[in-house]
Amino acid sequence: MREIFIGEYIRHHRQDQGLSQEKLCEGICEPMTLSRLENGKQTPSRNRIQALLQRLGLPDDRYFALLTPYEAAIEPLQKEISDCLVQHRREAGLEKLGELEALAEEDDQLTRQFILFVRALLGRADGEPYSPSEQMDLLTESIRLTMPRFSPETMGGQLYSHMEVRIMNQIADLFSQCGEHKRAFDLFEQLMEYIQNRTQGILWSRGVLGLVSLSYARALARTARHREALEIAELGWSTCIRMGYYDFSPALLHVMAECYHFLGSDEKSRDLYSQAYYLYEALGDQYHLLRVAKSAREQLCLEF
Amino acid sequence: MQEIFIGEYIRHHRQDKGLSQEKLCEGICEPMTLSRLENGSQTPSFSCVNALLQRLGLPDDRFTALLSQNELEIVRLRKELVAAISHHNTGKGWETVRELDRIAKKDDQVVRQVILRAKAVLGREDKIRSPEETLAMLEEALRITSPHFDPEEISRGRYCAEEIKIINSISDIYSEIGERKKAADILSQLLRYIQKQNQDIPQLLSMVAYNYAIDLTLLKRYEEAIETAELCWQSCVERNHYQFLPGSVHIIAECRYFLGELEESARLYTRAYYLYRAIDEKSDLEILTKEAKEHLGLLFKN
Repeated sequence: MREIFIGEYIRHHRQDQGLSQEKLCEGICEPMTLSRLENGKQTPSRNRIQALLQRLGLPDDRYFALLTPYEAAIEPLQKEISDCLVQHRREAGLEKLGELEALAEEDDQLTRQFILFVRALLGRADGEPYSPSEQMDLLTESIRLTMPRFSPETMGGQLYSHMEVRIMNQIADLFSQCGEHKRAFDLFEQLMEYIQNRTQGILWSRGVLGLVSLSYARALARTARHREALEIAELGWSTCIRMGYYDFSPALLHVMAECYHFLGSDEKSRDLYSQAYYLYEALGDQYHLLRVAKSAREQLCLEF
Repeated sequence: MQEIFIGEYIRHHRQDKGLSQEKLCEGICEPMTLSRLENGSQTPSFSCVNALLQRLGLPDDRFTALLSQNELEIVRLRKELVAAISHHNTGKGWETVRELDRIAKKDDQVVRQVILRAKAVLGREDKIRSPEETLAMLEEALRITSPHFDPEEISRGRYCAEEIKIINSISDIYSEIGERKKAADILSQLLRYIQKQNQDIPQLLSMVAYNYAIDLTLLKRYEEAIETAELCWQSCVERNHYQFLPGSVHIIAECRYFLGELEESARLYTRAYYLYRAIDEKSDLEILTKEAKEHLGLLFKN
């Protein structure tokens, strides 16, 4: 693997922008320190490198600077595919997935894991969705690439990557949709406990708690356990808002609105439906906007 | 500075958690690869390192993997500080500043700068310092890393994120003491700088555009304010960061009111009201409730 070192990277961009070492590092470090950094002899503290990268108008996480050309090609594709998943853009997602499959190296099991996971959610290349049992097979195959002995009953005690948490969350969700509620709740409970027990984890988890609490709350609501569903959704929403991870907030508000309705508090329900509706509207998310409008109409005769 | 290499770092945390190499890397890479990583003789791909770090419950950008324990703690405290300041939780903010102050090295001027700005902003929020004192503190903070800062020539400088935040805070104070033209001038230059740089720092564009739109509104330049608020809105949506989303809608609602478009204004006030609720922003919600009542007789609950 060819690594591009941070010093080379900074020097390249500095020269590209016609800046002297003195000008770039003024107030951040001594020119001597920058010179040593560029020559690979010394690495200043993270704060300083970040500040230098920011001055150069570059992303300030170091791993970007350490990407190989292969990684630089697959990383943005993965991000685009994830966006397609969130926004329910199936066709665009499948197209990008095809590109990623063509690029992915044989022995890169983490990218293959991602591909199988996305495939399970998006369906066949010709547009046909998978049956629940086919989906389960794909998800199981996906997770076993990195956890060969995975079984939904025995996840305790291990350590997981974000991708592994996402796959397990999807498996639990599938159980719930197929009516295997007990298996679903067992898995969700373990996942929630796992995420929450690591406070460090919440800080760096980029909103994984939002995702799992959303799926879990929906599964609880499906079996009319609305009070518990509400509790889980509120926990996910408030934690994510506090940490600045907003991705799942409108969906969590939608679940909360439903729960309040079924618990008999229509005033609170109406209030939350409005929050979810106007948030989707502001985001320009038509797909979810229509779904919120539909359930608000059915449950509360509320028209937006 | 003492550097901890990624391999040492992973080994340390793995042993700390009582895990064997086999257990940690199962399915991610061969134990041999992990062993080489820990010994520094080989670095596997970044997705592989990421996965290992995530399993260990550690931050997964390779950058932080090179951090010492002290720096890791600083990163955590800075994150907490940003959250506390944006939620107007000054109690938590002061506590975090004290903690940062305690663990930061005396010669780490980047962290010193963070601390000084936080003290200035929190002190103003708690009204224990005058605007003039706050301004002096902010300028001092800026000079730690930018001794030759020239407010007339902002677009010609080069800034890191913290510096942009300080300049933004400086303009806030100018606006507060009535020097709105000066504030708007600073922000307009800063906004142009960020757009030109195309910096990938999520909140900065929306933060500066939001504040600029507020100053434009106060200067009665409503059309420009709407345009700038729309830029803020769009940036929030693109980057999945909604902190300034309700505020941008709120500004447009107010401008529409002053432009005599009462119906559209009422429509937008309603939206901004629910958006503030959706992200649990209480103090701006209070301002909006009061304003919508005064302007249009709209009644919202706090």
